[in-house]
Amino acid sequence: MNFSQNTSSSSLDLRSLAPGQILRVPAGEEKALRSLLRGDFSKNLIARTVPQMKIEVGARQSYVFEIVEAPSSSGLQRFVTGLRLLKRQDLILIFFPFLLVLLTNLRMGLVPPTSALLLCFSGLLSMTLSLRFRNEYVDHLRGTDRWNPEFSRSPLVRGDLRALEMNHWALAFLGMALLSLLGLLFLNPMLALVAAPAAILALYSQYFHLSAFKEKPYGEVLIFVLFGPLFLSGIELALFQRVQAWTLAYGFLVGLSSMFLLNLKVFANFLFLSQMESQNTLIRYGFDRSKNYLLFLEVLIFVTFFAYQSWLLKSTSLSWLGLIVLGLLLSGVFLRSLLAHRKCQSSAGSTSGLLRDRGTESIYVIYLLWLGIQLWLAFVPGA
Amino acid sequence: MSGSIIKVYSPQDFPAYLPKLNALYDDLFANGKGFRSYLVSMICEGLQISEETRRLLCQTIEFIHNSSLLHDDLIDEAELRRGKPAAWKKYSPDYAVLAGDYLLARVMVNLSSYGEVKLIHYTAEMISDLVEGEWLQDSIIHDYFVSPSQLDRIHQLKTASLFKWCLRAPLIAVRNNEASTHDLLEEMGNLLGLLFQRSDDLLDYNVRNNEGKAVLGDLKGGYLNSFGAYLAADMKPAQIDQMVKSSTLEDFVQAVGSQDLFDQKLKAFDEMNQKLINVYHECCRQLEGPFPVKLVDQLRPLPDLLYWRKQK
Repeated sequence: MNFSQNTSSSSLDLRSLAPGQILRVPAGEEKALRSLLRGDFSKNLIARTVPQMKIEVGARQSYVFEIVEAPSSSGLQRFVTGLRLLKRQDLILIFFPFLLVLLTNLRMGLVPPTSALLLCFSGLLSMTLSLRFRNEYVDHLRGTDRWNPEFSRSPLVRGDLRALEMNHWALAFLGMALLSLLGLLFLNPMLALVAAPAAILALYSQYFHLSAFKEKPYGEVLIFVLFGPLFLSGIELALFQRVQAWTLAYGFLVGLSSMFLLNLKVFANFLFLSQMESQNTLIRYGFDRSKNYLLFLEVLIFVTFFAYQSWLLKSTSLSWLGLIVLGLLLSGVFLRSLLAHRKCQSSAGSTSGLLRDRGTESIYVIYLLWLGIQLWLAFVPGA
Repeated sequence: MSGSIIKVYSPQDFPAYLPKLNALYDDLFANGKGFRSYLVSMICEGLQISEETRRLLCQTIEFIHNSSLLHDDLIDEAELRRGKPAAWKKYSPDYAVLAGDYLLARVMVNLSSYGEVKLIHYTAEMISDLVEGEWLQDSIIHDYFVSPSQLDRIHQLKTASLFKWCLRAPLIAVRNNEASTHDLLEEMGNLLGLLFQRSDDLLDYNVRNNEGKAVLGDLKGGYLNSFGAYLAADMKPAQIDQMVKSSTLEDFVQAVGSQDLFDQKLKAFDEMNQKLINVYHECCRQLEGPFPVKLVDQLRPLPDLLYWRKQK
């Protein structure tokens, strides 16, 4: 045959890029690729990733970029744009356990020191922001946001922000979270027993190992522990300098719910994650068995929650009535979710997203009811 | 002539003792456009690949493509194919299934005779992708909330896989396995497949419908295609419900809002796809190293042919 073999490509010249240009970066151009993804190749330009169909994890990826003018917005405006990445679920996952521990102890007549309360709150908020920014940065560098349609609204994909800047914010908020933690450790050194393993795990996964928990076989177990018993124990230690048995029990349910929420997200992206050869439990189970697994988790959550509230309410003024109303509410919510399970027949269509949405709503309703009951018990006289 | 069409079907290639088989294949292969084998021919001639290999590859892709059409028409209960009664209707569903299976069996026989294992493997992967895509598409019938990006994933499997094969198989057949060239061709194949599918989907709404394809056929069959999904992405459920129940194009446009709004959305859809065409052109530019310039020049206008339906 008479055609030239591919000559090895010379390094790309990123200095000669112009707005409107389409640039394909073949596999092997690591330095250029990193610079384009991080956004540090130019002060006036940003490289927007163009969605691609072929999913390839690791070194054999090629990328396509569209070069655009960098936004002329101020640092503050860009930060506000970045803040829009913060999802409702991020805040709920972090602050629901915080409120739960606080209210349950208030109900018992315990009030945390103001300094501990402020440090804990600011630490949690900083950690939430740091994790969100860092997740977006990592997903962008891994290229996940090119393939996963859910990311198409990300400001990094749209070219509204540079990934490098987002990483700087992540590091800044991480610093603030660590400072808050130091303050809390000063108030209660025992907190180190819980904070140390959690911090090591979180930092390792985010800063030393570019991959997501949700794609690992042990990932959901880690989520269960980190966002469940460990998290609630840490909050109680930080605020009240002790860990009670009920905290661990509550931690079990909160951890289960966090794991369920993670798996719902995985399920809604089943096709894409399968093609990425994710090792998550659901992907290994397969589509049909995953549906059953999710249903099982949801039933377990509802039953455990009802059991906890039965125990709580049994000696209150509204015991039987409260349980009946709670039972009816939970049944209604569960039925709605069950309908979504029945309707879900494809990993490729909208029904898996519907299942995710209904399942997520179930958890939010449970959390709302839980907080409502705690508030009522804590602040209503004669409850 | 570059990219000349090869006659891929000959009755001598099939046993005479199978009743109606040759008549069925005569009908099936008679009126196809043969774009995929044209693409294969173009690559083979440009790279000066032997006539025998060219024929094998053209036959392979047309057999696989037509096998999928035989099965698709039965699954969809489509009565016409290329203006004539579909095979399952004219002969029987059993013969349509068997005829499709037999074409795939002949592909395996022919490729294994050729003896290039990587080619056999790649072809098997492509057929696997094709079936996965069809399976997934079947699973979303009557799902009118499917998103455009979800459909793209399906189309990548069921449509783009064949285009990728057309570009890459000739190189694999002659044992050119240069990874970066294959990556490039894979990307180009994905883009061609996506653009072809989206253009085909537009025909359902009578956009650039030179071939007189039936309007709203997909929608009436319970399938929201890529343009339909694009329109529905901004709609409320009640509006989608009205759109889905449309029996004429006028009703459909009314459900979208107005002809102006429909035209605006179409323009935005076209602009989005023009960006993909620009990406394809960048890939062509990078292909100028590994491929002869003349061949790249022939590949360059393909997206315009497929998407904008410009004449050759």
